[in-house]
Amino acid sequence: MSYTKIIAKGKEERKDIAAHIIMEAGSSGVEEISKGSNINIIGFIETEQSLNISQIKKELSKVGYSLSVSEYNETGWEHKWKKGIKPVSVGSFFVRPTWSKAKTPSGKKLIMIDPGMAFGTGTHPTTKLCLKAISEVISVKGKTVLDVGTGSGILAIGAFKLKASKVMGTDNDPVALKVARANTRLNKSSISFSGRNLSSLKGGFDVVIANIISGTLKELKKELKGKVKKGGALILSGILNNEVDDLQNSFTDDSFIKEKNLKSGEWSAIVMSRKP
Amino acid sequence: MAKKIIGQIKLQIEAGKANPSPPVGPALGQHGVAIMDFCKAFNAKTQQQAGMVIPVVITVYADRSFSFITKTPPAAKLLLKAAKVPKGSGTPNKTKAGSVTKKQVQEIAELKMQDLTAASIETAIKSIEGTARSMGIKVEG
Repeated sequence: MSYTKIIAKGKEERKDIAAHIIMEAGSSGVEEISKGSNINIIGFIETEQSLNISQIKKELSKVGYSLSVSEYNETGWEHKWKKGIKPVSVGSFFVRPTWSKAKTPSGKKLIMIDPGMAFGTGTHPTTKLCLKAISEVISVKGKTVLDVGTGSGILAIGAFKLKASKVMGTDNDPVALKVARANTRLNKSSISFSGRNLSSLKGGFDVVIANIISGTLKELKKELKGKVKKGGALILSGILNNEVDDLQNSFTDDSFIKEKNLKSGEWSAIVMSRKP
Repeated sequence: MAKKIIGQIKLQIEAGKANPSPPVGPALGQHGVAIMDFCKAFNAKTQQQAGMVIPVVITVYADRSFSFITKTPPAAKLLLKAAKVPKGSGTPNKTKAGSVTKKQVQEIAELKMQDLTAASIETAIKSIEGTARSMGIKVEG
């Protein structure tokens, strides 16, 4: 995707107004770079979006800001951050980025990941907790598994490697689905992916995993619980430690009971079971 | 031992809506920070403030790990919320976008005191009033 890059230069004390003007014009956010007592406010607006440069210029000049505009097509940053990803051992797995040559420790199952612009490199606590849960807390062997918000596909691939009978991943981000499919091929796994709403998916699953954030988990509560078969399990992750009680109370009822809470740093995961 | 800091990134992003497109992706990617890890943490921590813009300061360490602190929403956004209008006026001298009360300005100033370098509440109020004027929001009462 190409963007129009906007740089507004002016005094530090009026920066919030300048930032506001740029965001009103359609930038989803801004970066601030201080230069002495001056500051550059940098915004990006998708080129398909209509843009009234002279209007923005006028509004910015009223708060003492000058404006420069350029086309932005750089993509180097999409690859640069990947250098920071290190291979990691977690639960039954050894997760390594495609470009690493690290050897898989004996007894571990290898998951290769090129995360692209999707969540799930294996290094984040919320992902680790889920990998741990399917390695150590519940068994997915011979079971059907649904991974909601699959991102890079890492958890779905993990379930496949632990011999789940059928694995499905969903994500509302088409970029994530593309990345997940590529990672699935890389790991010679068989997983189906869907961008559809949970409620439009047919049937239930023995294990449902959702590593998102607490607000979204709550919004999807009915659909998530509805996808778990009787006697099945539900793994919720992406929960901050201080949100655990609230989320647990909201999910548990006569048929859903908490099995275990897992914790890593400021993040928690909840493993629940549905009564047979 | 304290970790070596290699960079600091300042952004303003909508609460709960960080994603890897610019400015977040390039700003973090250039420093080697796992972009999606930041987005997830930021969204988890700000999801309850939906609709607000949150300034965030991200510190990047030599091992590419990061930490961040969020600040109070910018005065402009708080004023729009208080005035219950979606946007400010492009021509603040001619047309007014809406109005807020003195009490509301005071409340915003009190909230912003956490972040502002302003020495007193009076200075903070003056600064908020200045922002209101430049957006075409009238301060009444």
